[in-house]
Amino acid sequence: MKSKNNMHSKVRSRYGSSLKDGKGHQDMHEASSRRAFLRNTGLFSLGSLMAINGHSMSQLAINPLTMGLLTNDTDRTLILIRLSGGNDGLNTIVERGNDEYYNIRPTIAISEENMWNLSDEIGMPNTTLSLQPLWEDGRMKVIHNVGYPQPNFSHFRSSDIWASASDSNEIIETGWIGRAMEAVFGSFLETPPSVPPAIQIGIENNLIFAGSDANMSLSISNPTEFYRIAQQGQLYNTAELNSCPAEAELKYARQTANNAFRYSSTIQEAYRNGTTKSEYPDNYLAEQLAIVARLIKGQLGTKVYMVTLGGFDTHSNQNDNRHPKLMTYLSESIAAFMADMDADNLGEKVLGMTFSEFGRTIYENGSFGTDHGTGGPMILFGGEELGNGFVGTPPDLINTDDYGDPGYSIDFRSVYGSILDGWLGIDDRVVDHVLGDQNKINGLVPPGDFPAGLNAQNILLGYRPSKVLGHIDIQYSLNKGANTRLSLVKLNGTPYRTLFESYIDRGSYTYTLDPPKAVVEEGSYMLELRSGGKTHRRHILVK
Amino acid sequence: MIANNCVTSTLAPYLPAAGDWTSAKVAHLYRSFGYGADYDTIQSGLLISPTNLVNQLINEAVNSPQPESYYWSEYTSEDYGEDSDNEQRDNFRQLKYDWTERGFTSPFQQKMTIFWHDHFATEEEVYRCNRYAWRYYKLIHEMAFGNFRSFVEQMGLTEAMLVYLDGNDNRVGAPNENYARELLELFTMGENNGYSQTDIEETAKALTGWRVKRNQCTEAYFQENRHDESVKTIFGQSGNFGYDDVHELIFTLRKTQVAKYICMKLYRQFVYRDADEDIVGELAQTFMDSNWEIVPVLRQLLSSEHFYEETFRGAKIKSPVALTTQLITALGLDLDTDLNPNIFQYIEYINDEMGQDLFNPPNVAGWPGYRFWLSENSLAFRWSYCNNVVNAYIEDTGYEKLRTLALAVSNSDTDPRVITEAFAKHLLDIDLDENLIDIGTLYLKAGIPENYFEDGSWNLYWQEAPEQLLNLYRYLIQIPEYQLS
Repeated sequence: MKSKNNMHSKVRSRYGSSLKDGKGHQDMHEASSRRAFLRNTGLFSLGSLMAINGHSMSQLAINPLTMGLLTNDTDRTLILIRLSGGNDGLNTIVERGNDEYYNIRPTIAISEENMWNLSDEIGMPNTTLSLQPLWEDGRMKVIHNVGYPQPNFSHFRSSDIWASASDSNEIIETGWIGRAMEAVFGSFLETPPSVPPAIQIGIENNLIFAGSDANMSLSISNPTEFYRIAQQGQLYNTAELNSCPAEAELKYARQTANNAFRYSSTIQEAYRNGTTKSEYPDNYLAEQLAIVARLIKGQLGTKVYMVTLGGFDTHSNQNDNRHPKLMTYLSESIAAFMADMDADNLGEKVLGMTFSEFGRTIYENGSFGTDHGTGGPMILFGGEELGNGFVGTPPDLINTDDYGDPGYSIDFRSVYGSILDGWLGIDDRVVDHVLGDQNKINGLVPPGDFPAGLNAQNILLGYRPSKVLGHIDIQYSLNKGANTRLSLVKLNGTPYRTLFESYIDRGSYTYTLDPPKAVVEEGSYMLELRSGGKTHRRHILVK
Repeated sequence: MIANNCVTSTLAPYLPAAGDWTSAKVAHLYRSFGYGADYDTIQSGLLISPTNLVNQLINEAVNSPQPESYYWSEYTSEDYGEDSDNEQRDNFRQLKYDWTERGFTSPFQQKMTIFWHDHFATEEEVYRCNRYAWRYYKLIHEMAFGNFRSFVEQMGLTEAMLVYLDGNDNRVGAPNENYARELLELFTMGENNGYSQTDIEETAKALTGWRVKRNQCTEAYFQENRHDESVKTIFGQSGNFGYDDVHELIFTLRKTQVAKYICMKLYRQFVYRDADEDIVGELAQTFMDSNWEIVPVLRQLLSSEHFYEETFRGAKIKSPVALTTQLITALGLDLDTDLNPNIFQYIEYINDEMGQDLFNPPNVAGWPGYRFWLSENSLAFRWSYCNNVVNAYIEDTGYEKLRTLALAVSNSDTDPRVITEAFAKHLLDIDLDENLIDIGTLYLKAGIPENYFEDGSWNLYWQEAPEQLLNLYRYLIQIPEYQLS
């Protein structure tokens, strides 16, 4: 048995990966570029859905959340559960009977008698027993060892990569959900939705929902804030203020903010309509999921929710009730959530997905913990006939790289693509636009009954900064070859510039706009695609 | 009227007991008279009495440097020549940027000049000569803390005003009442406050004769044959009154009205939009007793216990200029090295977008101010622009100073909630409710795994700390309390 004071010979000279590296470890936690950090925590927690380029949302026309390319069958909702800090996958999804696992983790490995079986080969710690019914009922799937090439070990940077679905070496300032929603809902500025397309509890990693124009999510800082808004029906309390000068003016300022925030009443209504029908455990994740359940059951209409459980950065004394406690919280909360949804026959309409910015070192370190690693498992639960089973293969503990990390098995973008396509019914062209090339995982999620004719549309997909500084790539897709015109229109409706007009075949394209060359000044416009007798518009900001 | 029982104090000098002269009160003085102050300045203020501090600030205000003239300051149209449109626009813009920048270098003076600009409103878009803009600008700087009567007398003869309010067209046989009306209604006495329509007509006649060749941007001059030599009756007095006589009549026969009206405006500028009549009456007396010197009124008001009442802290909705300038002033930055060189241009632009275009108020009544600055729509702009300023116009060395500030205000504490509360206390005029501090703490902590707080290893010396503080600042900018000062 290896002495617990000797680190395995193959372990790390990856400086900074462990606490004892002191300042170097701190650098591992460094913020990435300032703008990315900005996206990380959201421009305005509530304000991003209050103003687009300074235009107050409340002033604009109300539009019911028409799903556009996401239509019903599906009052389907996606719940993202972010495990913040880097979840130790090896102690979550355990390859039982793998001797190497016990070799490299002499003190912190989960022992046989402390596991329950998912299969002959794979177990999970007993702290997750609350998930067993879901597994056995065929409502839970495990995706092994999800990661991406050239992994990054910084919390911030890797979180951004997972949020933006970028490659390791590129910086993208929008998120996968944000891009998908912008492509689907079109011009946010013209027709803002009457409910938030996405809701996040917490303020971190908001980048997931960032679109080119606006952040598509409403971030509510914590459950306490949520209950305040839901119960008061407004952001800020004004009743307690008197009429003396400072309080009178504060009252006015708060009332103005309340009026600017258009979602108070819809949230309050959903809160009142929904009921909690299950007993939730006393932990922070459960608190958040209880809120999500209530809003879904109250028929709010929001499509994507995100909740966060923190504390996974277990560099030391991992089993001294750090990781095991989190596993308990995670499982019990998920179980309670599903029971709550099932009580109203809505369990089939939700799909949950856990994810984490990275896994951890397969070797334990000298402090009875683990350091930042590469891939980790994702757990899906819920859905309609999700099934149970595994996707991908567990990490190879023997054939690792020079730093002792195994390669990944599944690229996370495959998971994203499968979910956008299979669960939310988003058009393939949009999925490709959002995620680039990715290999979907067949049968990962149960397909939906999406109406025919979804694909018989042209789509103005979106825009993003081009490789050439100052240029903008505009993506669009035609369902049918036709005479096509792409132009810019001023916000007041007057035509501004025709970018091109010609016959274009069916397919997906990128048009690169060079503003000076096209004589387009900085500013806000509507991008207009006319083809085959139909017009699509979306907002574009030319910088 | 201020609601009953809100205010109990008088204009007696504020003589705080030990421990009552707090940094919040020092900061309040700086925010009301100027645009706030950094940590060190506030600490210095605590070491002297309120009266001495006020005297020090007034001294600084009065001795602020006068603006330096530009090469074009006295350019006539001929001097500019043909094809000079772009040059003229550029020069004018530069003047606005410089005025904006003065908010950072000479805050008390700049704030006062904007007050007077609002009071003696003119619109450059009407008179359209850079020379006239310059002369107007120069006058409001010279007279900002000077003698009000002399100010009025000189203002009426600025080319900007003569063009804007048609003094230029006012001549014998065809009097134009525009300036006469505003002189009484807006600039000296207040609407319907001791004058009649006849008074306006007669005053117009008395003011005739002054001319400006506006297309040439040449100096104003008096043209005898355009002056009305008849007898006019103003405020019940008759005589062949001219320009100087009009002012003598206003400032002797309507002393009380003038004093109260102007002191009401000064009160609204520095204290609150509703005023206590008794307090204004006392200020008016001081104003009259000093023979229209502005400084004694300021001194009395700013040193009074009334001024330091808690209910007046955070009682004014910030104007765009105040909102943007205050973003920076409390941070302790070096203006030359810690800020993007284009920041003043950007701030001038966004002040305009938010409704405060220097040299161009909406009309002769100036900017309505107070709650007119804040609506659902403008709130969105205010958030958006303030975020842009703090995110894009501060250099890295400036962000570093957020750390310095946080260490100073929190006394190097390591508890994020303590730091949040102290940071907020320094930047805001209003103490935050507990739940807002809770949320602010989330913003400060965001991105750092929780265990580093639990085990006490996180502190303000961490590399990420400036980013974290910036994140907290972004949150503070978007709460309603931030709109008030």
